[in-house]
Amino acid sequence: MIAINFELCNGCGQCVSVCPHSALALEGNSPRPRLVAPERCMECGACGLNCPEFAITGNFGVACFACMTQEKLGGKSASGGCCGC
Amino acid sequence: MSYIFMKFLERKPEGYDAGLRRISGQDWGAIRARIIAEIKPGEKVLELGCGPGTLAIELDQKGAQVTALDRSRELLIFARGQAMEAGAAIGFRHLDLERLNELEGQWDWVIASLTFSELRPMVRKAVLIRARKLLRERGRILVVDEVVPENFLRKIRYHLVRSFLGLVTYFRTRKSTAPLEGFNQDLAGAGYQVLREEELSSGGLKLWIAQILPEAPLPEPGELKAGWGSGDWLDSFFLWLTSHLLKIPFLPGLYRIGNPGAESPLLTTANYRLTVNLVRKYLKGFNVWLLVNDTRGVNVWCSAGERNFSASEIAITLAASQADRLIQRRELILPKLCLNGVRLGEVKARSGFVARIGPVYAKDLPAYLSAGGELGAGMDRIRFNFQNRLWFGVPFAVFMSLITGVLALALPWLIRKDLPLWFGMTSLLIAATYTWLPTRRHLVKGLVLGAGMALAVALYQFSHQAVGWDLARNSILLIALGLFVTADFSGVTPVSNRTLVEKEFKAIYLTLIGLLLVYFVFPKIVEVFK
Repeated sequence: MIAINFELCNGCGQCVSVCPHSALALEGNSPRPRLVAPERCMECGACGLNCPEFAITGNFGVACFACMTQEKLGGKSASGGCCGC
Repeated sequence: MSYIFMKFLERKPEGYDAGLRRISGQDWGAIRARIIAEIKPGEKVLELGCGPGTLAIELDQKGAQVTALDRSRELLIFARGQAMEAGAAIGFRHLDLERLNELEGQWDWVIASLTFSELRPMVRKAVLIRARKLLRERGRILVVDEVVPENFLRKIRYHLVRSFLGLVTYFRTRKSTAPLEGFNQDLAGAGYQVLREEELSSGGLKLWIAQILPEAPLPEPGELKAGWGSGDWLDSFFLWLTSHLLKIPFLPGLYRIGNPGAESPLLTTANYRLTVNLVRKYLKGFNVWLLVNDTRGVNVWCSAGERNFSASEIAITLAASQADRLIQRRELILPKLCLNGVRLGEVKARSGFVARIGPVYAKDLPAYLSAGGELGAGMDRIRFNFQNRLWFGVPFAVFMSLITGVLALALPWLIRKDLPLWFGMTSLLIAATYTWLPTRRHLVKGLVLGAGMALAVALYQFSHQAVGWDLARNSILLIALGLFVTADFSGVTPVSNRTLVEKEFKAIYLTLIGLLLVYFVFPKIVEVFK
């Protein structure tokens, strides 16, 4: 899941426009993003990476069973592109 | 001996020079002396990839003002120590050459020994282009690096030795180097005039001295055919089937599609061959530029996840291909699925091109371009409908059955001959049914799929009068298979996420181990009861 730090957020909406699942939406008068469809979020990290205020954090990375197995066995990081996924 | 071995030497800085001396057949000191002879006291020298700093110190002792870069912090610590002992005043800086554009200053010389062979061809070009800004007018570049010897016998010996050492080196260090090929063209393309070329170390090394020309020649991008012929269909079909097995790269760089001009749109993509095929398939009738990034032969989404498709990489490709000299419109259209690796704002900061978010799928490019860069409804979202699932599922099934097929061939006494078939079939089944259950949990999905298969097989076997223990035992194996394949398929889908898989990881493995234990212990239990 992702966490949005509203003290840092400036409401620019970049996170909403980069999300490939339209899982975020801007809400309110002074607009702030909200994860409106958490069930669609795949923690790809696009919102976190593209937030100009670094206000979004999360458990970003690949959701690959084989990668995680390798990681647990060999201590290799999953972002290293261990398998073909 | 091959210089690829220096990747070993870098792990122990104090042995680096002695090691290089051995590799070069005692020539290394003489080669450094050859480099130093070119530099006059008082000249400003920028050394790219200084390693343990020996050359930088010797240059300093000759009276040059040296700035030395390296990407390894360990080597820099050692180099600083060496310089301190020698009383040399060298400006060391930690910088990866992929980010050479972050450096500012003016130098008389840029020197790189055994550095370019460590860089990817695209980065070599970018470094040469970016070094232009770091050199004063009529400044020079001096490069010493590994080349393939021209002499036929030496060439054969070279390749034999190198492939062996390369393998050993890769296993130990996970790093590799490649001898320079076509470096004269690279120099000419980046606007350098070669003043001198010398063979060193009996043909295994080469030295270039080149001077910067006022203007680099205009780049000549390659052309890509828009639309597919029958050959493209065949090629793409093969690429698709093997997409989980093979990374097949396309030559990165800037390409023309149609007849683009200075104001035409600039698209960008990854250099997996199938990705490039798909992009150009839909661009018939359009005049656009296509920037193909060196994502190591991996598609947009995965390479972005692996950080190989990044703002830095885009800036490298743009610099190397000198796109800014052909394209006035400083705008770049990104495939939306690269945004987990590409920071939009960083593209502008690194390359001067403003990044725009393009559609997720290449097939939406015509509508997007025709609308003047407006994302139409649905163009900004990943879909995972039946058709999409088969698009991922079929290659996944091919991958699964090939892996188990190889295992079955290698260990025929342990693995049943029909296992690849079962794996392939299960893969197709989970791809087809993945979203049908109203749960995201792979444990549930997998068990349901496995149970379904077990039921079907049991009914079939039952109708063929095969009742009893065997039937139950097979069912257990099928459930385990369903679970394992489902868990593996999660990495292929664009709807799973890390938290979910982490949560389930242990439960899935425990269930699998439990099922397999029962499967193997089952016959023993049966015997007891009999």
